[in-house]
Amino acid sequence: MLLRNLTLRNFRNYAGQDIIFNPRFNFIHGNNGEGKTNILEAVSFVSYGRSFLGSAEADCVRFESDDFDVSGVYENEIGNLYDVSAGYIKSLKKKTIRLNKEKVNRYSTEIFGKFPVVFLSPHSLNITYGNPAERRKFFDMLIAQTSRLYLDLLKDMVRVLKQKNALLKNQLASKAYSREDFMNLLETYNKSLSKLSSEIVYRRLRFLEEFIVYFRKSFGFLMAADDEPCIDYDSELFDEGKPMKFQVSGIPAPDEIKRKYEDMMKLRSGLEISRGVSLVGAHRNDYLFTLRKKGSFTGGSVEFGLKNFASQGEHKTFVIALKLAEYHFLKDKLGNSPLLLLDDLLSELDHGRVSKIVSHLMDYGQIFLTATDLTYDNELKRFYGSNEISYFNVTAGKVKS
Amino acid sequence: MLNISDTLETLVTELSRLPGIGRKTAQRLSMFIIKQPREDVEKLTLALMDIKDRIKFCRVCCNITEDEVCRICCSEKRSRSIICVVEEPQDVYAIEKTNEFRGLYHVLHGRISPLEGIGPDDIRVRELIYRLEDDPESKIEELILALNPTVEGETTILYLSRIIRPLGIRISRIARGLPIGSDIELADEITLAKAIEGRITI
Ligand SMILES: [Zn+2]
Repeated sequence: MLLRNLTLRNFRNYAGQDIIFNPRFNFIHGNNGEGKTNILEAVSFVSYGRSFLGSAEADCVRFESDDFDVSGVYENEIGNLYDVSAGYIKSLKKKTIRLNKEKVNRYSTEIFGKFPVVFLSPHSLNITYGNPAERRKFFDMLIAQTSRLYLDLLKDMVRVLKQKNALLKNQLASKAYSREDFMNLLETYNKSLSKLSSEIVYRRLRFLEEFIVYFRKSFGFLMAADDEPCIDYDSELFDEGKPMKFQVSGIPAPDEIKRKYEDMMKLRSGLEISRGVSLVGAHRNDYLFTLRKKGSFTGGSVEFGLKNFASQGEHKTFVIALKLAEYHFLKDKLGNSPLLLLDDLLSELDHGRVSKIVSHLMDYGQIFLTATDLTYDNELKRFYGSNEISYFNVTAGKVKS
Repeated sequence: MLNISDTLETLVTELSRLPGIGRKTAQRLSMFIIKQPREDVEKLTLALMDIKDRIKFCRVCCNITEDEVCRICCSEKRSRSIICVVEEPQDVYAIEKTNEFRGLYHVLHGRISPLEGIGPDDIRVRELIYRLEDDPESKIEELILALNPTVEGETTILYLSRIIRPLGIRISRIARGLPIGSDIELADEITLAKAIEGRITI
């Protein structure tokens, strides 16, 4: 997929801006705070209708304006053009997404996964540093882009959870239901929730089994080969609280997971009732990143939980490897190269690693890179022809190419 | 905006409380009514009052009716052994139009949704249980649950089957799946998955 151009109107610090992109490499440079990242954020709006930084739409509207519009034209591998636009009106709290000028009503089925984008920014470090919700969000988005069924299961689970929590809360706060009604309703929600959770967990495990191959490949390219990274699925269901090493034990069938969830919900239901909140389900699981280092003294290997032991550099490498693996996974699954957006990536990495990454960028499709200066320009020019790189200088919400 | 007339403002406010009517539409409807001849507006007013005065809920199935017991419940031609449970009166009309169902109905007037404060007592579940369990004249053997395929509809189906199963009544739900005339290869994966889940033995 290529993004041919982008138009921003009243978006962040841009009053009005048209940008025509290079099909290969787009080097967006300028001082911090001038609006480089805003361009990438606008790309995320025309790709999947939201800010990749998780910003509220209202915050993206330019100072003293009421609405913004961003639009762009995508071109797929066989030359079909797609005109995507996203607009937001602050006073009406109304977001409209259009595909080829027509309003998109069921955004998840019409757009999601169609214009894949992989973002790598300092914000991405939340995947390893942040709380479990950040990791679930990262992997859920990735799986959902390749499976609409998964997206639907997630939406249903969120809704069932909201209903179950409302039930627990209503009962705790005001004894809203008779004892019998309440217990019957609770069992009903538990039944739905175990079913949905088991389907979701099963698909996450199946995904991890496939994804880990991509991940180890990207990781191996960035790091010494004797460090083996692992991603384990952490759920209350397996091994009495120990994270599940599914690579070793194999993936349980959905029915087996469902039975475990039903038992677990029965076990915890007293606690759920007294706290007035749902405590069991796929919404409470986590992904654990570990690094298995071959110990030179013992000959055996030592395992490091990334969260507690890894250095800043190792975190960053882990995240870059995750993102590059995301790129290749999406490309294979969707049969369509994602855009690769690298926001302020190179600034904090050591020179050796940057050279390594830069020398492989040719393997990726269209790339957008932001940086404060042109430090790595010479390096890039070794791999890209002069007409394959476009430069965009950003100052105070104006782009000069 | 400057308030031109309190009378107009009252009508706009009342109209915009109707489902699917925003303030803009309410204003347009109000302006239309202002320009209508008096007798037309009287007809509309009368129709509104009549619906409130004359329409009741059927004592048996809770559908809307002008009588104590609705025409379907009274009909000699309908089978008394099977009930189709629906969320709203308009669902009865949709199923009646197919001319396929010859049993009775039960209208719940909603679905269970704790988020909106709707529990089993806020919809017509008790009335249904009475028909199945306590009504001395009841001959019900089978229940078809024809609720919407939303999370709330599903919950209501699961809840009803849970409390009704001990009564020994056969329970089924309407199948979800492929629209007639569509090809399997063109169906989206969710529709297909639901169709496979709801498969029937042949
Ligand atoms: Zn009736």
